[in-house]
Amino acid sequence: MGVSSRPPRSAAFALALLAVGLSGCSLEEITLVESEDVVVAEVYVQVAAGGSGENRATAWLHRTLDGGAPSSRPVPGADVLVTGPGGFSLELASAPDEICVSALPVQGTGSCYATTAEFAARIRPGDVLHLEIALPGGGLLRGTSTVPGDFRLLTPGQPGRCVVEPLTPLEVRWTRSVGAWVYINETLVAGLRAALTPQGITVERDPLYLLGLSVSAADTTIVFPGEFGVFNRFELDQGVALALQRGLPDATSAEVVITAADRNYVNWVRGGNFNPSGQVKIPSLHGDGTGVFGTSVSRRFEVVSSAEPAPGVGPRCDG
Amino acid sequence: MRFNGSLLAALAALLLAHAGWAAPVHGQAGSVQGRIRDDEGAAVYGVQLRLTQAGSLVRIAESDRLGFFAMADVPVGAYTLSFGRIGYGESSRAVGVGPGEAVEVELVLARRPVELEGIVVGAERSRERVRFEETGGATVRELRLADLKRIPGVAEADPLRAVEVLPGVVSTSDFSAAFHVRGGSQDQNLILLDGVPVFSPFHLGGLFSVFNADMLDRAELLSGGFPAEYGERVSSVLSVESDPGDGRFAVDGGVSVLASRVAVSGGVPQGVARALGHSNLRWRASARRSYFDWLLKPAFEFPYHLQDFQGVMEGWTRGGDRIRVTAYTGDDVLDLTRLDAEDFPLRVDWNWGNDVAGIQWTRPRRGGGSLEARVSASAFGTGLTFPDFGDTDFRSRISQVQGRLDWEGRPTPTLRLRSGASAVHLGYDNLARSGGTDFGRGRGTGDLLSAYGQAAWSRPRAWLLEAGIRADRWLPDPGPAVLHLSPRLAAKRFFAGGEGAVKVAAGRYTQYLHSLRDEDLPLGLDVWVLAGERAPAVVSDQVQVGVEGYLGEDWFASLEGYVRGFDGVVTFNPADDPNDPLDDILSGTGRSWGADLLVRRDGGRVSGWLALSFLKARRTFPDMLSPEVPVPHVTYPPIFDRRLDVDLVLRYPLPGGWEGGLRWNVGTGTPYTRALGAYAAYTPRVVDGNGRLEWDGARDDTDGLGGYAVVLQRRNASRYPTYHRLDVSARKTLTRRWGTLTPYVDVLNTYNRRNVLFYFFEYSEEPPVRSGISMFPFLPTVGVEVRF
Repeated sequence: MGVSSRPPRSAAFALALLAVGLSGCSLEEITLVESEDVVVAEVYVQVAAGGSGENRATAWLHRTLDGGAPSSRPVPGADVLVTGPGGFSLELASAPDEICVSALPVQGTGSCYATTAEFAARIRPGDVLHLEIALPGGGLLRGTSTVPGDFRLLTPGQPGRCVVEPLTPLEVRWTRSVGAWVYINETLVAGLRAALTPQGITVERDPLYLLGLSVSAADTTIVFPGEFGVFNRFELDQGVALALQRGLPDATSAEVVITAADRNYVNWVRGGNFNPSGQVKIPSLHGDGTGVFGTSVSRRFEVVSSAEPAPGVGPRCDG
Repeated sequence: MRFNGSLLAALAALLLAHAGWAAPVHGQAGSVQGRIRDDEGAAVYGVQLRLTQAGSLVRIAESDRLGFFAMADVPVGAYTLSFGRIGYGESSRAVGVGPGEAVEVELVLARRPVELEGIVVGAERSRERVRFEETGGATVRELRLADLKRIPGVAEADPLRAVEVLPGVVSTSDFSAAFHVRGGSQDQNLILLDGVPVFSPFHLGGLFSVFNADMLDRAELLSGGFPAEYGERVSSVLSVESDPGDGRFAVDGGVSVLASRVAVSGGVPQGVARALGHSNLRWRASARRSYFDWLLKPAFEFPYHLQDFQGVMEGWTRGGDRIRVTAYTGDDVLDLTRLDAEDFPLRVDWNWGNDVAGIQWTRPRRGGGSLEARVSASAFGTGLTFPDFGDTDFRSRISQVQGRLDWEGRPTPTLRLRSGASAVHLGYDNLARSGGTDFGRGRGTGDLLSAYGQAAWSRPRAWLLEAGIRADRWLPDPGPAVLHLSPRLAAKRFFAGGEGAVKVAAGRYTQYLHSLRDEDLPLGLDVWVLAGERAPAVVSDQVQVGVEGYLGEDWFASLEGYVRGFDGVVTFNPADDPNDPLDDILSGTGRSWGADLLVRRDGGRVSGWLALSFLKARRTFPDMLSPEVPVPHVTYPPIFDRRLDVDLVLRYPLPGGWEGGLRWNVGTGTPYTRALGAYAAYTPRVVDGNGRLEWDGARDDTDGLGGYAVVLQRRNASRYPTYHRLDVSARKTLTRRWGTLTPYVDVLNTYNRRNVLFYFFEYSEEPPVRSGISMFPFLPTVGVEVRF
């Protein structure tokens, strides 16, 4: 990934919209009568992504919006099969929506398929997986993915919980995951409202979700928490953003997950060419529909900010 | 594309078929040539010279930048040579031409501050006529200052905006002064200010050009068939020339809704000029700044302003040498650091601009030749900084330093030779870094060593043949060195006594840099990269054939057809592998063909032109949006594939001494990619969702639009509705004792046509709708110019 115009491009588009907005150039609305019916399959195999570090394999099948309603029809009755090295196969069975999704526009607008954690545990980092989805009433979707290689955390050196000095940035380091395209770095910081309100900083969301990225398999560091939240800076209260540049405030804590993601995962999430009507996704499924077959490997730890020694909480994160 | 042998044979046959129309050859004819200077010894260019016999016009010529002119194939006899130019008055002298005699004259034209309308119109005519007679293959269209000021514009006269009205030129948006020529990308236009390249000649993301019309002498667009002396870009050359003035002190100023500007010209006192080794030293300098930020300051902080400064100085030595110095610097500043945090929470400072400087030394040679040396530097840079976040750095820079030597000789009145060499050092540095991650990075340098030779042979009003070759050695770092040989051939066959001509030109053109600007966006900045390990060089083979000629004294018509191939065009790779530093740019091919018609009337009460352009353009790239392996290729019409484009430009008198201008533009719709459907967009969330998907709209504050992704049709398979727009202008020059005052009114889109900029297909609405935004609405602007 060399030269990229994405941040300047979006800024330029915003500038264009600003200019257009100033001149009042809206066009008359025309009602559309046609919408293409396309099946969208979002299939993810996630190694150690579950709350207890278990593997997950889920498929969320939905369709393009049905005639303008902010909903789509589900896709029940599909056969979803993942096969791996040595011929092992996982059949994803119909499951409640909440197994696949945590938030959706309208309930009942998709169909969830999943396998049990025990079955999913057979998947290993580095596996080459094949996906085949037989749609009800005919139609087939296929895709292939290589699970990113295994990696381990270097700082903090042990899984679980660790302690940092307040307002002290922590450089998180890990080993390289072979084949990973990016590391998606998520954190959920708790206790900010209590910590920052006395300083006059308004905290609207607590816990606060922040996202950071390390691009390419070789980029195996990120400074916590300052370099998280790169994509939240426009929407985040600047007082909070600036406070986090200095480190975690005292008496706050954060969950941190580093996820190595494969090509398919990255292409689907980051999107393709600019289109004014919405996001453009780069699919990895071909056949009678579109979608993604993404794989990832995650590592999780928890950080507690404490000025005082806290016996039993955990070791120093950088120790 | 490769040259098709049968096509060339057909073109040759076409030329020969017209051989019978050639004018008779004057075996005993002679020639008249010479140089014309003012009373201070400076060459006077643009002088119209008319050779008459008993009141009948025999030959016409125009002096070049060095004051040289030539009239070949002059029958034996006695003549009157008349010459004149605006600001210099008129003069004449007797000339006798013997059999085979080459008459050499040295003329002096006294400066006189009187403008004669007859001279203006005559000079315009003669310049076009001379170009018709002396230019073989190149398609040259000139925009004069008078045209520029009468073409209705956005706030003020703009040379780049004005180029859009020429045949073969397509603009895709009212919001951008960027243009495309005959199916070429916008980065394939070489834009020169006094011979120095300007990388990104735009203000406000493309809304206005950097060129201040008060500094302009003329702008010339070479839209195809250009000879071997031109390299570096493959599609067109737009040459903007500054006017150093005539040495007398003068001030031009103007106020528009965009900016206020002033240009001051004058001459260095004779004593000082002589002390510096010059007989004459003249200069002009300008400054321009937008003033919205100042004007609106009492109400609120307007975060944007533009400013530019330009200067040119020209000196003539007693020996006739010319030295010319040009400089330009300009900036756009978008400063969001001083806004109230509630209005704009993120403090951002965004600057971009060009810096250009050049010096040129020219020594005229007897007989019309010259030796010229040039050194120049040009740079463009943009930087986006967030003062509160030191981990963020967005920047893009490109620069070049060039040295160049050109020689021209005329061993006989009918043969002109030209050769030269140049060395260019280029460098670029692009970076997009935030949160400890380089989202994009590219840097490199390159050296371009070039040499060319070209010959032009003419038999006046019968044949004009041009042949040349250019060698370009490109040495990028990093990247492999390449050598390209680019032949250029052109032939012109006159008929109807020299009043008409058929012509053909073919050539190879090369380019070693690209702008990765997203052409789908109406506003944007150039992000330049050099050819090398990341991107290929562009190689373009082009053939064009045409017929042109005069229909009476006032009318000129030209019809040209062309075919162009482009190897090595580039675009962003939206699916680039972060582990591969070299795959972020996709290489592809392009092809275009079309025809351009120009009908122009000079003189008379109503003058102007009609330009009609037909274009079919294609681009082919790997289709990175496809899930197939291996990646298939997709061929599509680029957004500048405006199939038919009509421009009508008129200048006419209005009652009360006002001068009117009109531009009517009609163009078939440009391509776009339609969204056929939309679906909810989800993103896996691990930290608090255990890997479950979260609908993007759930945490989108914008109204849920960001929560949907789209299913697209084949790329650019739809077209926007036909574009049309009528602009008018009126200006009146009021003469006062102290100078002139010229108020003007421009009205864009007089009938408020809603030309489409974008459609939004919103399938999440109930029922689904198509909305959108249009380009310029009805937009009146006013301004005033002063001169004293």
